[in-house]
Amino acid sequence: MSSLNLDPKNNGKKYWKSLDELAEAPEFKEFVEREFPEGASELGTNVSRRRFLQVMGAGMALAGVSGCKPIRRPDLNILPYNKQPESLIPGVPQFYATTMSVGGEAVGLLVESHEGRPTKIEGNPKHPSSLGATGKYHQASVLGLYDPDRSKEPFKSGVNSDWGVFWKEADSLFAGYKANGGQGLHFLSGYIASPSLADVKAHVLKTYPKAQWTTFEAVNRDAQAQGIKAITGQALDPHYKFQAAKRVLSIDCDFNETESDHLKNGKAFVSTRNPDLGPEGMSRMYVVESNFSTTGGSADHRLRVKPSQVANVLILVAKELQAQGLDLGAWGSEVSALSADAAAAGVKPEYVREMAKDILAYKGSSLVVVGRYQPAQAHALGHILNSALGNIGVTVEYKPSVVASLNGETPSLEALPALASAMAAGQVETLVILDANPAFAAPADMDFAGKLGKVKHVIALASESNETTALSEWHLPLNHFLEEWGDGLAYDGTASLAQPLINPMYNSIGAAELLAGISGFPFRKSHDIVREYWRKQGGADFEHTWRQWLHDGVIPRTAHASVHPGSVAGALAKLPGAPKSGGVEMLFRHHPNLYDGRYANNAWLQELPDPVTKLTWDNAVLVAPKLADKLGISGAMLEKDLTGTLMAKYRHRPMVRVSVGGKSLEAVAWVLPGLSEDTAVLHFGYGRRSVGKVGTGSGFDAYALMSSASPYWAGDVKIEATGGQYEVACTQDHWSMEKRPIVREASLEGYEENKEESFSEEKWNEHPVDPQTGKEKSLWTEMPLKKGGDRGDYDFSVGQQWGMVIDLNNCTGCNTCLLACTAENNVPVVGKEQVMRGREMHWIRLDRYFNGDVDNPEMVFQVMTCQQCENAPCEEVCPVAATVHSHEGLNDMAYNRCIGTRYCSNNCPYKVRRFNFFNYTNQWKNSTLAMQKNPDVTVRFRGVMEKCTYCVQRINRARIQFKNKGQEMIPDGVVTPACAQACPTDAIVFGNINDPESRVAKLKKHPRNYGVLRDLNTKPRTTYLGKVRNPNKAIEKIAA
Amino acid sequence: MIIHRDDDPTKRPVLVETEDFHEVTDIITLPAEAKPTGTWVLLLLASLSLLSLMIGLIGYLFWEGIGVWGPNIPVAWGWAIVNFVWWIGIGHAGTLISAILFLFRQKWRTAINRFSEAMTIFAVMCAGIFPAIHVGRIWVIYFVFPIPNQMGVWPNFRSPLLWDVFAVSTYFTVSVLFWYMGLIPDLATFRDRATTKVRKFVLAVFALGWRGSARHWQNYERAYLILAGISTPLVLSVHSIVSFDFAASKIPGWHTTIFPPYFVAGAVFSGFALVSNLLIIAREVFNLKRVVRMHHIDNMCKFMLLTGSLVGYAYGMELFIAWYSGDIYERFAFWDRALGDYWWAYALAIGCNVLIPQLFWFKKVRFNLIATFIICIFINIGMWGERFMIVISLHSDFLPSSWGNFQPTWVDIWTYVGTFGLFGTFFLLFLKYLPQLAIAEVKGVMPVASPHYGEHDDVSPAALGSVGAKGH
Repeated sequence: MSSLNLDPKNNGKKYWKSLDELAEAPEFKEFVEREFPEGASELGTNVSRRRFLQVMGAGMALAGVSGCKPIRRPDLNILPYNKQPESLIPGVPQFYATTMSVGGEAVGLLVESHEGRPTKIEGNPKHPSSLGATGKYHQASVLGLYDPDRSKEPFKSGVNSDWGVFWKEADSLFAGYKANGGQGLHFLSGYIASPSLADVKAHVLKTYPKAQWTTFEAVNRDAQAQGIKAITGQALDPHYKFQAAKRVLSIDCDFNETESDHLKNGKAFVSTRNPDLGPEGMSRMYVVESNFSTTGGSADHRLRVKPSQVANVLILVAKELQAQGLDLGAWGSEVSALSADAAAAGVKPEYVREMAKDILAYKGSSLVVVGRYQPAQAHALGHILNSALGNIGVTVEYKPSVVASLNGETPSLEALPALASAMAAGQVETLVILDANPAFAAPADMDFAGKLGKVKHVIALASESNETTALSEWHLPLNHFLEEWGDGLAYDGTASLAQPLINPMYNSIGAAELLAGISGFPFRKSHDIVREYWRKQGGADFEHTWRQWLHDGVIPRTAHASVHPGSVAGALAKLPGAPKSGGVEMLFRHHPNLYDGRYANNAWLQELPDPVTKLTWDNAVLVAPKLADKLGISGAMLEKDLTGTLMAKYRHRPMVRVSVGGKSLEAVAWVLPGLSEDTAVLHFGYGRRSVGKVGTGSGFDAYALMSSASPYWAGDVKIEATGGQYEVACTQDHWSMEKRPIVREASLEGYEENKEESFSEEKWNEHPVDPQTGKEKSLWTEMPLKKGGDRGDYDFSVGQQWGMVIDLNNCTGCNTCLLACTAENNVPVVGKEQVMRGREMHWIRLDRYFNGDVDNPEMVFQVMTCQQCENAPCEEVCPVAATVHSHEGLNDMAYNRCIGTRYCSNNCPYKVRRFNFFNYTNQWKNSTLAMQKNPDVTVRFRGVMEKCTYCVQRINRARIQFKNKGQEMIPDGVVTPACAQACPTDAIVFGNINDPESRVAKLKKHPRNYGVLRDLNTKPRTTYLGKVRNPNKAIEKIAA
Repeated sequence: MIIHRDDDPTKRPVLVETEDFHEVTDIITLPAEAKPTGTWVLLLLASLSLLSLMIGLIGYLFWEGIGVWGPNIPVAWGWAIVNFVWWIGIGHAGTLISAILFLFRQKWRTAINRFSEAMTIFAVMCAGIFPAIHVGRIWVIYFVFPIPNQMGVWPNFRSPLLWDVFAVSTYFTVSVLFWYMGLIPDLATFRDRATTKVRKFVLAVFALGWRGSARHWQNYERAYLILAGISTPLVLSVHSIVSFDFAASKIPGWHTTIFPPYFVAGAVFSGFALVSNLLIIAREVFNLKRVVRMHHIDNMCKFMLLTGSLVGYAYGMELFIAWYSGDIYERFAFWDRALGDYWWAYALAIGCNVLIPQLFWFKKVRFNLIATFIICIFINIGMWGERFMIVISLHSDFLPSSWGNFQPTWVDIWTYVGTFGLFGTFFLLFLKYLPQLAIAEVKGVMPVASPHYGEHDDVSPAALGSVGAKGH
């Protein structure tokens, strides 16, 4: 090889191409000269016409081929990591613990990250407020991170600016405040749950001693704090232990869904709802409310009274308990002095008597819970009853209030008016608003937005432009919690750390960083602020401890110890009690999906059906059927269906004008059975005026009707039909179950009598049963099962066979499963117009049925999704075999095979298949939203059918994991579908039904287990555990 | 082929009002040989605009997706399938008249069979469009054909939709063959009368060298008989299989064994109605009164009376069984059809398909062209209502939580209207360029065609007559 000439100058050739070339063979020389084999290079010399055309034709054809390339797939460069991040394997997601706080309560989370993109949020099982579950806001928050409407740069007076300009101006501005001690400087924030942020806040207030700090939350716990403080003398929060409560009295307390610590409370509550605990073990819940909440739906007895009478019912119960011999101790005379009239409240005295009797019988294991929108007196009275019943320490304990310790004790609705009047008086020169939107979320009569104009410098830190930033001098972009370091205290005081999952996507900043910047805090970066704060608490070997905390997400042993509450006499009468009743009453409540309006630009939450009304994209003035009659609008809203039950029918709903004390609002009306008489309910949070693309034009602004004196209740409300109409998008307008055996329900007594029969097909259905096999008769001989068949015909008695059981006793109807599924499975949002057309894409439908009297019905929920039938009706009708069975019993969809005949959906008795009528995924194209998508789940193009897969990607992930270990079988509990994982009440159990030891297999053998429409012989793999209520016989008689 | 057993001209209705073969040829060839009339041009332009509208809307559908139509979940099939079933039903009369009536030696069919066969083909074309374009991903529709492919997947032979593919394509192919087969002698007549070279050439190609020799006639008649034999089961099978789309499903209101005969009866019913409509118009416009006589219309009316009553029986039986079965879902589905949100479709079906055709009991009505024409239109509206009622049954099946209503979009409506453009365009072209009636067959039923014409003796049962293309 010594003759190898690598000198390019030598003969113009750098590399040899063959051995002949090396040898400089004459044939090779000629070959090189000719460049192409003989005949191929004659073009240049003597081109014939024919030859020319040949070559041109070939050239054009080839050009056409090359032209296809940029159309079909753009060039993409996939580059390896320059430096491989620690422990990152491409394709294998990583999970990090972090913390999210809403309304002053932190919940620990585990976030799934794919190559640096957080895609899915789960609960942190170690965190006491999560216990592995999540709420809706947590699930949806990951979409908020990628919201394309997020502010990317600081804005000055609505014009794009930059941080350099801001800090230059801020430095000179705050230098002035340093000099005058902060005179004229005001801060406004929501509830702070972060101790490190509170530390920075303290530093700010130290730096500017004359500065004022206002804490305002539209969804607050003021009444509770006031009531408990007055009666115990301490700033305490009640902590319920539902697991120990046998009798629960909920006074308008939606503890399953919208109250504090609802994830923990819901889980604890359903642990007592297992009918196998027997009459002594299963709890009984009484709910007194005017609105119809999901908690009211789970009640054994729901007493609906007018809003102004809810607290009075508690007084009646207290007096009745006293009369039945309960010693209220020092408060006895105070309670006797309270007055309440059963007739005015619309309750039968016998009802209260029986209820009190039942509660009294469970002294020491009963629980009275009072909702956040009830007056302070009711909270105090609730405490008195719990105390007298000996429940304290058993079913309820008290811990120092986190909100009070980090935010002070001034109620939101005293603080904000004070700030507003200071603004009006021109005492506020600079207002720094930290992640709050008072220009929208303050009661209208405060005219906060108008008064903002009198403030010289408004600096608003917010992740998106909103009503407040629109009126601000500076709008500074706020980090998403997944972009910054932080911490938070759970409701019980447990501290947990928040670590970023992604670098800030835009030029945004955290609240602590902003405060640190303007106050000269020693640390400027969120990491340093948090870490240095905790270093003080960490002790020796901090580095190791810190890493452990980050790993666990929870800082151990930081929960507050429970405190024995003091008792203050003479306070009860002074506390604000029930409002004076008058005419039609209206309740204002925060919306279970949008909270106080802050999530209005979150498309997942907008399209998530309201748990009770099933409305999407709008709120509505909810009125009871009778009130609708009185208003003369029921004809336009209600129709009797064929079986004579009323149902909400029309898409065009009447508009009504609601007038309250000089304020009025036009909004659409919606009939909701089960509301109390003469009651209307309007959720606040909708009707945002200045919001991103998603939230624009959705719903009606309830704040416009609220007054600062009595924000959540209004009496003497005038409602009149305007004659106008409005289109609403409702996902379920049919109320009745049509007497079909869909949700099967029994009373505890009936269930105890005959467990095997209570939910059986024999009782609920009349499908012929083959006497020999004991199974439903089939019209055809079912295909003999064979192993490894090419399609469908598998032996389901071998291997892992996936199945699911949904416990209807546990399901509270909160809808979180639906959101978790949306996040996990790249389910697109379709928008209001498409929902109105019946094309929502949610893989889970949370069915809500009303039972009984339309004025006072019971409500039941049922998670309905693909039942993974073994005899799947969808499979036999697909002409192209795009939906087929797997050997593990899954009904699979092959999206690439689907041509979209939609026959499968037609033939699905459960109607759980969803079709891409348009290319709904277009919304993700060239958008940050694409970053949220789960790479393990195919993004579906238009024209294909899709549906629940039992999260097959999770099954496969586990399969790979265990196969690598040499195990064929995945142990029970390893695979959890997204819905089951998020469910706060463990209603969904998934696993291998072939493993007799698995949870799901045991539940399948339970007498409560039944399959919906099993009489069609679909053999659903998803089955349900029938609902058992535990009614009080004496009350049933009275109520009837 | 045309076998006359009772050739006594005094004993049978006069099917052709002339005794001159040549006149028959003239009547039928005149439209093709004369200049197109203004009405025809106008109608063609109108049809072409509707056709282009349809093509445009289909393009829009392909570009945007099925969402431009009304379907949703639970009603995942909408107008597309309604129109498909309706058009394919209309397409039934052709084969019935060509094949079954032929086998039963119903000589009166000769005046209408060409017409109805043409109508069948164009109706099946209109029908065939819908299942093709209603799929979500049109670009992979070839998955439904059993083509060996690199994916190693066959279509699902258990799916009624796949049966549809085979049934409809077979039906279309056989119908076209049958139609073309019958056209050959007439095309030869046209060829022989052609005056221009181009016309002669084109017709010569399509006439396949027909000379009218006895041997030709023998082969022709044999082939025609065979094709009629093949087509006859198709008349029953196509709509039976279309009905399986519904009957083989699990949905209440769909899952009924009565569907195949009920659909076939309905199909023949609607097909006859449309044939009558077209015939009544063409008879006036092209002056075919002497060939298409009131006797034909009368027979058609009787057929509609029969099939309409069969359909009515099916409606009643369906309802009865829904009640008698005791199945709560089935009961509800039928109750819902009759009284629910789409009661108007049920009312249309009952009113137009069952009640109105009862007027055909009266001879006066049968012999009143205007009344017949209006009733036939009602029948087609009613049949569309019936198809709609069946498809839309989806809107409330098992779980009330999933119930939802269907609303068509403007694209649905105009695509449907556009199919009339397709139908009209082809039909007008047929009327202008092809023999509207089967010349040879009509001649065969003329009294003069009888070997015993002019005799007054009893006709010998063995007397056979066949007519060739001897009239020109």
